[in-house]
Amino acid sequence: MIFHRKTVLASLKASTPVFFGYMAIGFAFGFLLVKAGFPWYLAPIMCITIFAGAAQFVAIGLLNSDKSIFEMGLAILLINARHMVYGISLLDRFKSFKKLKKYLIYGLTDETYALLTTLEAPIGCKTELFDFWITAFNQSYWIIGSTLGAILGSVISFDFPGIDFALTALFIVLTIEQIKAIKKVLPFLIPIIIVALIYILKIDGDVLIITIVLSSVASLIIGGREK
Amino acid sequence: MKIVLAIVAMSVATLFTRAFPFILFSRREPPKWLIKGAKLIPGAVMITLVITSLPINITTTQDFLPWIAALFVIFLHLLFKHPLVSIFGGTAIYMVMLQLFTA
Repeated sequence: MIFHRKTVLASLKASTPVFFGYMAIGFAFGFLLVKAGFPWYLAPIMCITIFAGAAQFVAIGLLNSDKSIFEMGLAILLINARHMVYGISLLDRFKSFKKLKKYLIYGLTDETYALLTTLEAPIGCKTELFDFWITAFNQSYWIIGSTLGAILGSVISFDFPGIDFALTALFIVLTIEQIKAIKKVLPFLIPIIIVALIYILKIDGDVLIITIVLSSVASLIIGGREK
Repeated sequence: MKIVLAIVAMSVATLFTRAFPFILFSRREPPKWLIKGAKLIPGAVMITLVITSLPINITTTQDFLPWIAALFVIFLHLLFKHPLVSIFGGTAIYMVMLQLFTA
């Protein structure tokens, strides 16, 4: 059942851009982790327990600092604060999900969120299973990339400069698909204006978090008022 | 020992951010306006992820390259409407440009 062939293959195909991005970025993470003095096996452990991109890079620095456990947790909470709004747009899709729902919530990275909110499961495939395989494939790329980076990072260099652009390209394509689906300009214009203002006014803070939180609120106001 | 506790704390923090909306609405139905409004969030998030992954302070020639590649992805996607063609076409062009302009 879980290995429903058509669903597995469709998810594998949908997740290929993430493969290249996660392998490249994961490799860099694993390499930096070992370079910072930690054992290689901490890479897969962190990719299974924490499982977050940017946060894991910051975690390397935190683990080497004299900050308290509480401060470390708080720092990661703030970095991942954008995820607090992600789930809102998946409440409906996940509503009828059963066994795999907990794993899907745990594995909701930026890339997985982007795929799940834009793609529909192919005809004949269950959405819950399709979403599960996308999440699982993405996580496996992250674990494999990081572990390889941790073990081989000092021996060989997995250096294909620019390959991580695959993730930017993925987000661009998904933005175009979202524009086609939503047919409104404002939800896309607001984030651009916010980012521009942050730079023009030289506002301190994480651009990504500020923009996502503010434009999500704006989206809720615009979309919620519609009849 | 501290490292184990630190990783547990960071895992719980990450899980909390992801589970937050689901915990909030585990016992009650989310209001209709929230479900409707939330349909606009992915687009806003996606375009934010695009802009923040591109260099905003453009000082060197190399800072232009991701923007050119981004335009190329848009062009490919409007032309062929095939996600993988746009993504890998754009990435390939970017990698080639990096080689050409990094001497």
